[in-house]
Amino acid sequence: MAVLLLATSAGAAAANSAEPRMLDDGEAIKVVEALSRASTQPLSDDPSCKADLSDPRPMSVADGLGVALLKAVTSEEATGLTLQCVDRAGYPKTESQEYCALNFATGGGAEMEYGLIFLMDWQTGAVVEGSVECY
Amino acid sequence: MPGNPTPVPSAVVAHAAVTQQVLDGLLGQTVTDYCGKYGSVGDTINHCAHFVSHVLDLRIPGAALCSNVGNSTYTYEERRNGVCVRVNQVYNSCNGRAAFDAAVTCHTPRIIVATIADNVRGDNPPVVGDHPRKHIGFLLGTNVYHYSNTRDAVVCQPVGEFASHYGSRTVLYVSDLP
Repeated sequence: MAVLLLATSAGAAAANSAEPRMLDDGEAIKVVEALSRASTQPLSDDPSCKADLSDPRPMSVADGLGVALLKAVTSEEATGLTLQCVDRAGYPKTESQEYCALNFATGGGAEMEYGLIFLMDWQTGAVVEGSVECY
Repeated sequence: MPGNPTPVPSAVVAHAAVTQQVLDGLLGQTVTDYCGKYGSVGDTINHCAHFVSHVLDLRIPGAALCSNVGNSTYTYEERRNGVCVRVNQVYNSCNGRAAFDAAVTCHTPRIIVATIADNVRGDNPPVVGDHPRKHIGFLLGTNVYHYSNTRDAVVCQPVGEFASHYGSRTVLYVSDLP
């Protein structure tokens, strides 16, 4: 049975970015609340999180989180959960926006292994609709 | 992504000549050898579909690619240049999907997937789901060429051994090449 651990550290950098930015408690709360409010919004189609790309049914942010949770709870290793913001080279965003990742990594590792990556707008306190991707 | 993404052209599938000679030449390669921009030796990412897709130069519209998942070294402009990385997205896009039949010898290369029974819906055609217990390779004759995540290298294995990839829970499915 997998063990899910909630870690506070940001972990290692995404391969194309500087070190992930650690969020303080207030930021983490805002991000989690924003994701929760976005739970019924559709996931990005680019890339899609669908197992079958020919399936016309849309997937929601909650569905995407479900995919990540399935991987986590069926892992044979303890899985760490981190929330971090990362720099995605050249990806579009405004000054008040930042890419953040809800990242699961097995064995307490620091890699960005799987989860959701999305554009957080700190000014509006919302996840940019259509930006949530599975990875 | 914010805004409308540039429409993705039709799937660019350039079949390499997937022959035994080609596959034998890939034995021992690591993810750094055949890609170099996503993943590294010793990482915890499942690279089996990544390997298959690099051999086939496979990029399916809308699929997760090594260039657009959250942790590659590709830039935004390059985000559609990579190849597919998800076992189910690759397999579920293939024609000729069916349960593996050991009595049938494959004279041409096919895709083969090892997974668990609960991760497959239907049988005509079967659809592989999101459970992490899934692995993909090329079936050629009675051998499977695949990327071993535990050994961090491309390996060749008799299909009889591959059939135990997840122990007694393993089920095998095959398809045409995409």
